[in-house]
Amino acid sequence: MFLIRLLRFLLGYVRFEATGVFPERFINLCSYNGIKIWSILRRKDGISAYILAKDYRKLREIARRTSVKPRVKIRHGMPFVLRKFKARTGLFAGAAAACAIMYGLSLFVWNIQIEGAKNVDVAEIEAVLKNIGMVQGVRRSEVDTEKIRHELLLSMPELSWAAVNIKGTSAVIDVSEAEPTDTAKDDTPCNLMAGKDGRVISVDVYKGVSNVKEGDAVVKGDLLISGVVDHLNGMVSFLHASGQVIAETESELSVRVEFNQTKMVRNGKSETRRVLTFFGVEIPLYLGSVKGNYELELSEWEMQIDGVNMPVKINSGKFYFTDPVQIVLSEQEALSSARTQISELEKSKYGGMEIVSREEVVQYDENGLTFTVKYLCRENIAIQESILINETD
Amino acid sequence: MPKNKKEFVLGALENLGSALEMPAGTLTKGAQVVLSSNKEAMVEGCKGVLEYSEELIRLSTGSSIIRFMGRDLEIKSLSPGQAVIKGFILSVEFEN
Repeated sequence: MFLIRLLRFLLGYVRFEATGVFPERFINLCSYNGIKIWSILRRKDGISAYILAKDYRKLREIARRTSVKPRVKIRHGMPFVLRKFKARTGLFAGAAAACAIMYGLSLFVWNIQIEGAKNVDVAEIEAVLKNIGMVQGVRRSEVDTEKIRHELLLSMPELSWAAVNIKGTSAVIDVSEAEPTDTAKDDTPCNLMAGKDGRVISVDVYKGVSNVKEGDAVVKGDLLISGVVDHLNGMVSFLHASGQVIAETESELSVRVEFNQTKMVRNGKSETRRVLTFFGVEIPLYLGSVKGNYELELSEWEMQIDGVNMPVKINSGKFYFTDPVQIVLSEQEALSSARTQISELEKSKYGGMEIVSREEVVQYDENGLTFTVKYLCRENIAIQESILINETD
Repeated sequence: MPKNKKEFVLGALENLGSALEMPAGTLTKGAQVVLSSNKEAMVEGCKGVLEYSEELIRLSTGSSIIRFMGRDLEIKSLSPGQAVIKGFILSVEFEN
């Protein structure tokens, strides 16, 4: 019944009243001519009934033969609704364009979400995905989820598992991080060699045969723990040597600071340039380029709705203009600057080591100073080196 | 076909139908009336409307005339060969 009503609505129908003496003849002729009429109600001077809009014209001849006057009372259906908007073609064109745009945009991936990354940097995963071709704006039909998953795992050994799911225009990348592997479980035969020159403080052998003892001086490349074990019965075993050889090592860091320096100082002027990225298309919101010396600070704003990133973002760059200023550092200021630089270098180079002693040496000359720090560290100098085994007949 | 021969043929067809235990009127192309309580009646084999008012509707089925009497009667739909009567049907009579 619903389908019949829907069909009638789509085709359009009218309620009409037919006034005359013999409405029965009128009804019979309609039926005889294949004209469907329904809900026929008897009125004082005739009948009222419903008929499809396309059949109403056929009533004219029948009405003439039966001396009945039909009159349309109410019009229903899509054709009559569309007629009202006949002059509003722009409305339909806009609706059609909106549908086309919606359909077109739905063919692409606009949002990429990465879930499950705790220690691994999400930006690193995004960079790898970009290399693979999984970026905002890629066609959904071109996304091979298996290939992307496979290449992501190959490129990032820190991940143990990955899954790529496309939901609508969003791509959800689920990852699981790999547990740190125990290198001691590696059975590849190897020796432990000295990675640096030093004096052996302690030797802890977990597997293999120690070749050095406390107090020995070793140079880089010396054998510390051997993975080749000779047995009393003449057999030779090749082991994965493991252990720790703590040695005192010497090293130094040096920086030079000039007294006369040219520093770029902000002069208070600045300009902001913005770029709108709309569905993968970058639209610069500025004219002209920035000239002169400047310091640049970048920021990004990405549209989000309910926590979902939208493919609309604004990248802003603030240019702080600078002027070169000649400065002359005093000896104290130069030394302070040198200490700061050395401190930064120290953190990066000796971050995990025990520093036994440090000796600072400052050499002044007419143009600046050279600040040198000599370190005595205690560290594990053992590094693995595989044993090449040639099988001979 | 002469009337007597026609009646003979119709009678023979009815006998054959009843012998085969088929519903009456299947072979003789008679009108079929399906009543849904006293609210609606579907008439198959309807040839035309003879009389139509809110208390009385008379339909021609070719071999007979069916008379529906009641209140607020209306022809819900009418198509070649089929009519649906709606309303409070008080009686259905056949006129030959």
